[in-house]
Amino acid sequence: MALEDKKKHKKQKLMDSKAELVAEAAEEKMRQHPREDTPQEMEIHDGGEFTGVERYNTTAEIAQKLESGNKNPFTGKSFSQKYFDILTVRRDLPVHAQRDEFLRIFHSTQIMVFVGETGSGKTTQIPQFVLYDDMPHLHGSLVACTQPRRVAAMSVAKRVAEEMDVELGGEVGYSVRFENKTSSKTILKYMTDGMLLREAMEDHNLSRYSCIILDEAHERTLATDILMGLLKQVTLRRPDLKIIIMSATLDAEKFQNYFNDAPLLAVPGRTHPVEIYYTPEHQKDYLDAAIRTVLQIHATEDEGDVLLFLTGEEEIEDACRKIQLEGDELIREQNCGPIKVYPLYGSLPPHQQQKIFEPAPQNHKQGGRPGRKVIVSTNIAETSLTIDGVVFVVDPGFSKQKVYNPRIRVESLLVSPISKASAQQRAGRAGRTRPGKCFRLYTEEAFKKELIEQLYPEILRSNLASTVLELKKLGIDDLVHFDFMDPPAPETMMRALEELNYLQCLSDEGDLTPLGRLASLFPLDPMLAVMLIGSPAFECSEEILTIVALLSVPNVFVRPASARKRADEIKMSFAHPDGDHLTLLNVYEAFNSDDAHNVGLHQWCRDNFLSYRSLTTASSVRSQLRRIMERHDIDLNSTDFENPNYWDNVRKALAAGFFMQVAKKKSGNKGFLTVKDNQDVLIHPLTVLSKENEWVIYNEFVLTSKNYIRTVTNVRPEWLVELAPKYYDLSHFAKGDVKLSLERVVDRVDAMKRTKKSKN
Amino acid sequence: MGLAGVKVKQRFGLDPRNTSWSNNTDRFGHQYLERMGWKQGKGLGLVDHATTTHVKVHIKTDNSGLGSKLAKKTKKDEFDSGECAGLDVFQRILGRLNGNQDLVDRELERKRNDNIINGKWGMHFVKGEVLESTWNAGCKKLMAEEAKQTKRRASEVDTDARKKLKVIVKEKKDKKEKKDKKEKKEKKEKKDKTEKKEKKEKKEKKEKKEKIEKKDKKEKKDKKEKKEKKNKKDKKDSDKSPSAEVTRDEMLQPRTSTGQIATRLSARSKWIKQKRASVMDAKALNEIFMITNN
Repeated sequence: MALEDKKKHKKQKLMDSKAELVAEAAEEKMRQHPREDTPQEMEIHDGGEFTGVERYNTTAEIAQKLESGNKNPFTGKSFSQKYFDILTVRRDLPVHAQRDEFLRIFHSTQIMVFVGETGSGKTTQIPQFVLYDDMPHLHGSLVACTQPRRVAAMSVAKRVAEEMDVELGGEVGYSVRFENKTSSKTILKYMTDGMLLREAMEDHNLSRYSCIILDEAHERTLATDILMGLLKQVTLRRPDLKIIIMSATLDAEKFQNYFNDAPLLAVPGRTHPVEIYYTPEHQKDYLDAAIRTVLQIHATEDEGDVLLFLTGEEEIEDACRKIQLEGDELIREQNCGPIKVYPLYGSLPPHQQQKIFEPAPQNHKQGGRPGRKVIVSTNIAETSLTIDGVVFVVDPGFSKQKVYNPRIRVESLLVSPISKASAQQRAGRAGRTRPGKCFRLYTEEAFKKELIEQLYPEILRSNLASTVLELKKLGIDDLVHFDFMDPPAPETMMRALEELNYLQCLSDEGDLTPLGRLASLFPLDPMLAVMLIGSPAFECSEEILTIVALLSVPNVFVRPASARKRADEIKMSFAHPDGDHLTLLNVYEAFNSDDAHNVGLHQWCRDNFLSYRSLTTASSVRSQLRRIMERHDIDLNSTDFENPNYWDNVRKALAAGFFMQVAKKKSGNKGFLTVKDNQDVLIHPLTVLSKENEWVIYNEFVLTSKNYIRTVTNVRPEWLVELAPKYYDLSHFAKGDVKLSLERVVDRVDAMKRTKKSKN
Repeated sequence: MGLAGVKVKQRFGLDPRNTSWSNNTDRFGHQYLERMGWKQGKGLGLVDHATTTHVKVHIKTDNSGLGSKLAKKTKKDEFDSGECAGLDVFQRILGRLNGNQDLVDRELERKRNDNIINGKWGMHFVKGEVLESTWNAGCKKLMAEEAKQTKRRASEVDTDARKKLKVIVKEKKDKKEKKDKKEKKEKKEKKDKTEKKEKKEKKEKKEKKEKIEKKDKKEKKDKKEKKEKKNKKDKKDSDKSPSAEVTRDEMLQPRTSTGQIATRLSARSKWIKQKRASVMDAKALNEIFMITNN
């Protein structure tokens, strides 16, 4: 009886959300038909190369002997000539000189901190040092090396595969979000920190690994911070697991303290001195000053390329244009050498990113001044990308940084001053090949007074909803006493908990629900994951899948400065009157239509001012997500397009996910008010939505001089009240316009229900 | 819109910081954290440096460079653009009067070079420290914090000469300006008084103007007082610093050294010689009367 009561009670609770029902069903199915996970047998080579070598008791001499032999001890094949060419270069790296010292410390301790300046070769060499000592292939384990960025993980893996004379994806592989290039042979795995965290969610002890290297720990990404907290616990449970924390800055003490006074090894980089110049007074316009400085360098300084740091794509493209224009004028007027300007930012297509490595232009005039290459970059070039030949750095002192305000729930990228550490890092970029100069477009006083020492770690600047979900999945229940290196603000934590509670990923007791467990498997924001899981109930999971994929890639609409009007007109041809989410759906359908294929996808995207790269990424993301859904028995369904309810179903499914991001039009006033947080917002001008709608859901809240909501779709308030009754519990609402309207809506819904009942 | 700058309208919502959310302790998040042992006003985690608020950032809406906020704070009055106009001409002669001709000459030469570089696209720069490896090759160790500090001090010594010079020049400028202003002010006051008596019945417009002027004066007075305080402070600071900076007052007073009389006299005679020389030769005279040959 009591059991039945409990069941009833449970059922009552489950009535709340469609997503919860789907998740419960999926979990039940899983329990009934458990999927056999066949653990892949490792394919290893053991030709006896390592016989007589004792694990954790090797010396540099033994390893070098093996390295210089003629057979690859990991594959048994003969080394190629290229291998030996690279080997001589490797032996020349600063880390190599301290291999013995490294091994001694590595043997003596479980956790060690390694500080190597840029150019020391730590990212490529240390994991190989470990391989020759740990011999993971003989013990059926793996060595992992994490990177904060996927590009870095991929390129470093490629390089190390070459250095070890193996195939990429064989003994050396990489694993990044939406791409896995490893096999059963893999013993060294480069991966993003986020991927290792995902693996830890399944295997709390990370039992596959015998050594984990956290590289670029000084960058303090969200995932690295969580991993450090986690590994600190795991090392207690697994005394055989070795950890190396690698950092590029002097901030090593902090890591040492955090890891119970772990021993430190420091290796110098190969850097030349860099002279630093400041402006005598502050600049009224840093962009203008930056351009002038670059041109002055070109006109007066010796040979050497220039690296200019700016904040964002638009600013960079603008500066590139201006520098190229004025530079050409300088060639004519001042008899300067030729100048070539390259932009560099994250969303730039890879083939254009590669262009920065082209040599500086040659001066064809006999005895003329040398040509020069100018790279205008975001802070990608600060750490993750190394461009040789840069001698002059121009640093205005700003970068775009993510900040999160838990009170009004806004996460945005804002232009803000950099830290002293990154200013020094930027300056250091000038000294890679020979002594260089760094021009700072601010005063020395500003450097000392306005800049903070270190950038705030990402954990203090982000929405933690997905992090909290991950932590819960990692089996950490006490979030208050988790050993964060820098604990997040309590209000940020609260917001995350509340969001997850409203999404029903966390129960009122704070435990993970089946929906939460399922949502954590998606590499998505919990809100999007829940929306996706709940979508089959609205007969439109295929459509929602498309929308989610498009929301997780950079903007698909291209709006070049030269053809803004035309681009906007074409965008309107895809427009759906009810909103931007639906417009995205239209774009994707058109992209996959026969028409587009007949024209050729590249050409079609160019004609329609769409980003080919974003759309193709979206399709690969979509197929990834689709696979996850299939694996967990989540229905993939779609309403017939002719059905009058087609669009309403999609909008309902959107409302079921985005119910926490709703804005209501202010009565008798232009502008909108966000529901519950009561912030004044405007709809971003680049929307397809006409202004008549009263209730809208939004994807993004952007902070600028005005507060904008971006990517909006019109919804009905009845749906909100029906689909998220917990969030729209009117007793929690502050008095005001929103509450009044919602009360009216609730009355109307109730009246409808009553008439329906009486009819029956 | 006033002359002071573009007026920026800013509208705030009813609750831009959403205090109704943050003050509500019945929320799930708040309750959950408290249940886990967190106390209001405390941070999370096990460390003692835990933050209690989220990171706050100013929204930047213009292209102004780093440090413009600092500059606004230290601006002396609305006429002070941070640059000194027209006084460069006297610096050579003043430098000679002060007995550090070489230093000033070198500085002015540098400036001239700067001006040549500064064409249409010119930018001024001041040399700062040199960034070197954080690695100490001798000790095979990372440079510790103390080591870093000594390095910095060393670089300060290098640039000391330059800085000293700047200080001298600046202080002189300040004093001169002050004197000029005082004189002007006195004159103005006298004028005003006479005007008032004579033109009392005249148009109202003028009265208004005068009122404005009065206000201005008051403001100026206030500012002057502040400035004086600042200067005093500066002096104190300079007294404290071990590298004895040469101020103008010190220059004007005959140096009474505690050393032997002979050396004192010789120093004094050298000083007098230099002063005399500075007004004797033709080049110097030209400079004083601001006659330029080019």
